[in-house]
Amino acid sequence: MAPSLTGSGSPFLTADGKTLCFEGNEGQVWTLPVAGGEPTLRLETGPAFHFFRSASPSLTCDGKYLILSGIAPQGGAVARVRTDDPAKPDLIAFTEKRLFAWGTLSPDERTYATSIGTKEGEGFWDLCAVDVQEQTKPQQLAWGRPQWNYRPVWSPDGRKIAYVGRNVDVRVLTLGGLPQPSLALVVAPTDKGATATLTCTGKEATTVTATYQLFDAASAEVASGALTAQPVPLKPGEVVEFALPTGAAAARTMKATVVAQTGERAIALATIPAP
Amino acid sequence: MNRHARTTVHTGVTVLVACTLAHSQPPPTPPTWKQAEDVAYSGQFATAVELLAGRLAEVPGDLKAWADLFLAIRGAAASAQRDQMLTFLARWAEEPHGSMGYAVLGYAQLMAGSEAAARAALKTALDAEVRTSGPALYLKAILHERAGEADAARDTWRAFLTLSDEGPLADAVRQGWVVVNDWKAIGPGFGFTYPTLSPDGRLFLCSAWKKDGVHLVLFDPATGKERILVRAEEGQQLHRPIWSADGRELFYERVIPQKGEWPLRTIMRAPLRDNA
Repeated sequence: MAPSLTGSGSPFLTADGKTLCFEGNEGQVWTLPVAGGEPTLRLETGPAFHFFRSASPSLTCDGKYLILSGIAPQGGAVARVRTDDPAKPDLIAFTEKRLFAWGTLSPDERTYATSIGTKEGEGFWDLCAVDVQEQTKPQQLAWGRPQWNYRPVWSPDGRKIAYVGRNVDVRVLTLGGLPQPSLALVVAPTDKGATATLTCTGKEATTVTATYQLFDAASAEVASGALTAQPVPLKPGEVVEFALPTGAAAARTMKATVVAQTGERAIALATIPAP
Repeated sequence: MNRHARTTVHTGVTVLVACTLAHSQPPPTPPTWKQAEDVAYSGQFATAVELLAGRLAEVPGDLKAWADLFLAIRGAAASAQRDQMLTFLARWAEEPHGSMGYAVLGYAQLMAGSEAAARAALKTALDAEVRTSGPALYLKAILHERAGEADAARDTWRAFLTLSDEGPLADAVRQGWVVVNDWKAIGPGFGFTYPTLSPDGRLFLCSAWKKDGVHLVLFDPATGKERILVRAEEGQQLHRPIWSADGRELFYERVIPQKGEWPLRTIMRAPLRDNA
């Protein structure tokens, strides 16, 4: 079985950039390796959980979960669906009188940004954040602003959300606060290049791998590579520094990505000072 | 001015008058956050700010009202009601609300684009009370976040949680969902939709509704410059672009509208350099 060539839409790339996830015309969800391969049907529209016609699916990097917004029998819902057992979705957010529109999973896969409103195509819609890992009440981030039919998107470091406002303007929220991830990553330029400082803020030891990318003024990658030859063990409270090369003359932005053995990711961006 | 804010002026005369009035008619009930939300949903964000400020003057422990107040402030700051809100809050802050009034005013000034005024309001708020209040710490932490002072921000958020560890604001702090900046990257009139950010976080790629079609346009908010990256053929619309992780490829939806039927949609993949 293959998706219809003229019935496929809403592409989403996993945070590691390896898998494309998209929807079919009847609400099916497909995945496809970016490096090449056959598409796999992950989800068919079923009676238990009727998704929006354009469900705008998000997929976790390990391929285990789809995050979707849609309509459950009793109201609007955001669901986490196991790709190996799609018949039993976990409703991670639920509302009786309102609806969730299209949303997007954050790069660290902790938060689903979406909008919540009264009725498809009508009324005021609020931008909100849904905790993907725990069933908590959605947190409203902006009142009555987003256009319901354009999904919000995340910046690569997961600290900004861009969305289309009511007046068809593009707005950006910057997020802060005191999340409790296991990794804290900061990239800062130095005299000789740049340093990525990684702190283990979690309560358990872990191992991490780190990579870097350099981008030119047109946002195209000009260099990339590994910062760790092999997984690096990290104890709670331990701080590790990685030297980032900035050798490419055209490089204007540096990006460091650290992945823990648990799959948790930390991404940091920094601008390279002009020579 | 909000009628509920007026009743909190703590002079002997006012209290006496209030007591006298209490015998002749029941005191007004502070508006609930739900009433303020209904007002906000009609687009009257500044009025919602006034209602919520009145509510908090009467019931400072209403945690939902605090969260709604900050939402309403951001709504007003992004609209034509910005000056109305700032004028009200400047007056309101001068009433004896301790550091709370100036912290709220500072937050509004920050969201309205004036960081210097926000810092001045924070100083006044911190001077107003020996013991720092939750709203003042909230504003202080946001200013640290915006200045990139990660350690100071973390310490201040922790101090905030020791004063206020319940409610939507505390949840937002714990989950990293506090809005510390809210800005318009691309103004109305450009006809840009489906924004996505480049892998280095600097540029927007959008569907742009132009006279000759819906193309994919690259927009640099720092310079305001735009250029068409992928041009739609006649009768097609290009939507929902996403960037590959290395910034060298694009994926997007090519839409061909069909009269009276569901449009034909195809996911396209394009090397970026070939289109640049």
